[in-house]
Amino acid sequence: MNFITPILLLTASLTAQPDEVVALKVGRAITVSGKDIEKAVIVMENGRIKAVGTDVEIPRTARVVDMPRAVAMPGIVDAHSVNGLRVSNERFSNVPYITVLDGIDPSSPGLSNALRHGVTSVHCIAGNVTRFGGQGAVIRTSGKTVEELVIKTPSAMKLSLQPASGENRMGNMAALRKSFYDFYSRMKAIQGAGDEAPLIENKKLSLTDLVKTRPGWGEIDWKKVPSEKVSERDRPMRDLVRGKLRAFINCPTASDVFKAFELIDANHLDATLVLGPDAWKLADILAARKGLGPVIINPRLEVWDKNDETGEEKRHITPILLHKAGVPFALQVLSDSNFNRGPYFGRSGPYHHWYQAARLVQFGMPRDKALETITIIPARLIGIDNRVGSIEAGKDANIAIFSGDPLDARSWVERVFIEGKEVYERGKDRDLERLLKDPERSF
Amino acid sequence: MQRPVHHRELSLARGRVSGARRLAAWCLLVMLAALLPAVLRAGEGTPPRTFALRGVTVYTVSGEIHENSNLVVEDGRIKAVGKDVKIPAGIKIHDLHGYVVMPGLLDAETNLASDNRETLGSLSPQVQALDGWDFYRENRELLRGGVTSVYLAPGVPVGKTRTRLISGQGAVVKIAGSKANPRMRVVAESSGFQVTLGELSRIQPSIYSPPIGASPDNPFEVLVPPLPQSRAGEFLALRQVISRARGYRDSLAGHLRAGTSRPAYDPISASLYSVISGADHLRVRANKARDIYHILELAREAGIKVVIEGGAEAEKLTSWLARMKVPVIFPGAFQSGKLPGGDLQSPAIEGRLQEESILRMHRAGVQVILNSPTDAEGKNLLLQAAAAVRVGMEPREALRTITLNPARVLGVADRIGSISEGKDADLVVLGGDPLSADNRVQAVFINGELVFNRAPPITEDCTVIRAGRLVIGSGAEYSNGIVIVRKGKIEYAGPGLLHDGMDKAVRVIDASSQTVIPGLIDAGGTAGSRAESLVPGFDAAPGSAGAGKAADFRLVDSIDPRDPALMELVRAGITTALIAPPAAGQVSALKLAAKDPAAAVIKPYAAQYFSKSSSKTLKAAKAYHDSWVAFEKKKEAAEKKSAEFKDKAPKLQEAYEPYRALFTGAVPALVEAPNAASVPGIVALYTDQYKIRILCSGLASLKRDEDLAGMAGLLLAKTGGLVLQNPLVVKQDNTTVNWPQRLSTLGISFSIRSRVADGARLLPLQVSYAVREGWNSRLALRSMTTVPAEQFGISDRVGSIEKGKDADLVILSGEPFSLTARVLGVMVDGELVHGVDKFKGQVDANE
Repeated sequence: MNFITPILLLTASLTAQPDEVVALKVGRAITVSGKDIEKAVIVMENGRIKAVGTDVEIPRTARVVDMPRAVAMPGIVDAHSVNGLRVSNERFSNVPYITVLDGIDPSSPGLSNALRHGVTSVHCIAGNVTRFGGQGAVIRTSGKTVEELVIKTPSAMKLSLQPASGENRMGNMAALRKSFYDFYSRMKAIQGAGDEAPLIENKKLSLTDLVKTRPGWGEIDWKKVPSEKVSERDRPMRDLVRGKLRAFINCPTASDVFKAFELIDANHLDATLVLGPDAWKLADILAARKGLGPVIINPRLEVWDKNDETGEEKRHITPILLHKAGVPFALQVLSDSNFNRGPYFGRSGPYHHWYQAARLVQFGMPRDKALETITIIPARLIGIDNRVGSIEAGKDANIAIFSGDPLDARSWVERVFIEGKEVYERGKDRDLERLLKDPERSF
Repeated sequence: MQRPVHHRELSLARGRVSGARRLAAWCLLVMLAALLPAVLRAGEGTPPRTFALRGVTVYTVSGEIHENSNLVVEDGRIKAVGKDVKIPAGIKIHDLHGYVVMPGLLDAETNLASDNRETLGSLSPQVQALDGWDFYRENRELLRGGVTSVYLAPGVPVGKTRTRLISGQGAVVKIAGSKANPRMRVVAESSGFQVTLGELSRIQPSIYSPPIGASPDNPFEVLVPPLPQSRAGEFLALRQVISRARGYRDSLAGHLRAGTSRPAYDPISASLYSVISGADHLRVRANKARDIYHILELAREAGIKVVIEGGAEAEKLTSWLARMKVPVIFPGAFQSGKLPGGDLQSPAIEGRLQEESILRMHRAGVQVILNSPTDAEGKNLLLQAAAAVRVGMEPREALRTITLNPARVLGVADRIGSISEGKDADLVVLGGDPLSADNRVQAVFINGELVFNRAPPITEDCTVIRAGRLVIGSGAEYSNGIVIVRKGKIEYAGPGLLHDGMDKAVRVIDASSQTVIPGLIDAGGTAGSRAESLVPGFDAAPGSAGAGKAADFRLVDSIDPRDPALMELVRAGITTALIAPPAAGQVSALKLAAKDPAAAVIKPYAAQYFSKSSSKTLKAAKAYHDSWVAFEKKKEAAEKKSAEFKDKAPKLQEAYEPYRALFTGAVPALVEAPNAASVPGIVALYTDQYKIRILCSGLASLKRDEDLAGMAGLLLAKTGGLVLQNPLVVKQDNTTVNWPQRLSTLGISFSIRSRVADGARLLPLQVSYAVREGWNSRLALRSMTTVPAEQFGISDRVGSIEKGKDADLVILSGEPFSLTARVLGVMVDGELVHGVDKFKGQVDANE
């Protein structure tokens, strides 16, 4: 198996027209980082945004794209997706050393479809039913090879509290704990501390405490664990517990969050919670949790909860409850087994980020906050907010240009730029053309 | 393992306080004391989960029963209980005179943590049931039965069995409360290691290890095959795992003491340390005597604690179990809708013991715990305890089997299981003796938080009537009941307590030392009518044109619903009267003192009255009805075929039109029957010949030597019932005849009519007289409430105090139909239309 060490690929190597300077003139630019700019000019050079504003000087060499009615927004960022993967879960449940890079299909229709809806960066990570699901990667939505696609790898590791392969919740949690203490045992063996050190954090333990003490985070002195002695299989786990690799913890039910907290606290994880549909119960719990950071919420934004006794149904809108409690979050879109099998654009609804964000506004969330949930917040979650997520000078020139307001269902994505390169133009979208001609046609 | 997890704030409060901190705490206290008056003034003096229950009977379970006592709860814990306990000033008081409070029940066995999937490994004591528990689960069905805490079994339920030899460690949790931090509901993170003996623990797990790229040469394999395959093998595995845990402990002890090498971490041994150190127990599911025997042997040999679960054949080892102090958790005898099969020779049937066997073991000194044989249908532990009492267990002991005993065995008795100072305020409130069938759980507190209340919440648009005694009318009666009225309709009627929202209600009518009954119904009067001379056809011969015209006559049309004379009846407690014409015409249901006079007639055509049977009229009416039926049938058939339909409709005869409702069954015929002898003729004509539903009325000249049994048979079989006329109690041949009582003994239910106008106000007194002479007062109440409501088809509106019906109530000073009971207040459509000063005053004060 091919193990890929953490690498950060540089963007410049990918830009096909490195020298082209593009000046974009749009009716409005949604910067996300600041206020919207009317009649904005965005100058892109060397794959980056050089300047943005109303009275920006357009370089003489620039190709001018003039779309006076269009609205530009930062390319949409998907924080949690299986887009680009053929099979999203490994059946073997404990595979921290697997990487999605080996499973990404650059020709996946899911990617081109995301592009068609203004998505420029996707965090591609294993599915939710593998206990340790392996390492993810942040990819672009346009490119011919995996190398061209990748922005950052490994991006995070998926841990799931959804029990796999017929196991129950308690068994799954016991196995998760075991994976960690077995790992620490191996590290202790490398450290040569297996036989000594009953002192943990300089405290003398009683027999009862000692018996119950599992090999844990506090016992490892990483200076004494040279990297070359750590097996390749254990390296992702090492990065995880050292906070160098972020954990994405899938919590399919509200109660699982407490188990996630236990894992985070015991192993000092830098973690992001991926929440289930009943996360509306958790608003206060999440708000009270220190150092939590943004969470990722389920594509089902509203949930009807039925009281078995009275038969009454009550609606809970997760994003609004979290927003009111002050818990930042990123949105997810719905995906199903057909996600990567054919063009998706015929479908409307929660399959698209702009649609999900529009629903937040409908539910009463401020518009700017709603737009953040599909741009800068997911960018921050996957550690690329220095590069994407807003239209600011110096950032990657990832820009989606809509024919009108991005949250309006009548708007089309007209053009998409990724790192200054125009990767999508509606007029040249053959799939879209075919679909519009014959909506019944199957691909 | 006795490792109770306390509330966070609690552990802070209990933690050691250093000198400096103590000083700081004192300073804070002084400051708080200075602030206190201001806080009290602001009405926020009572901290949450602090209150007192006044006047309750407290079943402490651990000790005596305190009657008419006070129970003080402070910050979710029991502060004091007893007769002489003073209630601190300024805290919330729930007045619960007559109610019983007992500790919340502990269900010693549930599968609530399991999601029907499996756990790996035959020996997996490190698996924790708590990891499978959904903190957000709604547990109303358990709360309803008075359960406040449950034991969560680890592993998989297959029937009632775990499928691993050691499937993990259980936990004890509270099932509701503390929404802010559900983790606070954990009582014991770990308690009892589940051991299952027998065939079921040898079933292969269906979890497979999938090799990447499975093929016939490289097949899926069971990840961890079950270890032992025989009984001897199972015991060998248990012995080995215990000695392995001992070895692990000893080498760690050596490591601590002498610095010998530290053994590698062993999760199995680490988990079982609490068992070998005596802090926790093995909970062994065993039914067969031989298994129990071997387990006891193992426990003695290894010096560990065990608890037997199931124990179908445990009685054979009674003396040993008692001597070794091994508790047994029995599945209770009662399971709704199920009777055990098997033969009488076998004491144990499918793992379920006969109650007597449990009792014998209890008397021999075995600590007994009862639980329900199933998690379904809201397991009712109180019923299991009651079943034990039925065969002779002391009620106090029976209550212990579902509270204190399981709490002790599960190591949580320092927090739950009885009502005593310092324990958690997990309380169950009942209407009376917990083990009597008619006392359901009314309310449940967990940690002093009201988590279940049978009564619905009171909101701003409610009128609330507190009733010392609430007689629903349809059967049920409650002490300390409440009626919640919203928009003129009854929202709730039943036991009322803990009325937290009382202050929210628009008004509260406090009849807490009175009796509340449904508004009474006069089944036939002329209330308020002075217009008898207006009746057409009053003297007309039967079958004449005049008699026919009478069919659409309604006496109620001549009554003004605002007539003050009607209030005479209301003051006597009559809120609805069936207005019957003197000779013929339609009977109408009139609400007296209705809120909206325009809608006072709640059913204009409730019956057709016949003072004399008239076969001629009936014959003509029937012929008229039949001609219409035939016409409509033809028309319908033609429409179905879309054929043209040209037949002429029969001529409309208004005189006969009202009778059609009789033939269709929409309304009954109310036929006057002067005595028993007239009944067969009436039945033959109306019921047999014309298939009309009838009510017989009158029996004004009934004689005691008539064939009453024969009449009763006819009335029961062929009529819709009887409307009995006053006088109810008469003297015949120097003998007092109590007609209501006589007719009741014959099995007839009947309503009672006054047949007069204003005089109807004395009807309740007449009924009281019949009651005094021996008639049953509850039957009397029905004859003036539910029976007439059913007879005349108005039971959807009036007749009883039930959800959805009109709020027509009468407040009595005493028992209904006791001679001295005074009508203190009358409510119609949610408005207090009559009331003595006390109730009027309350209304005014609140408005």
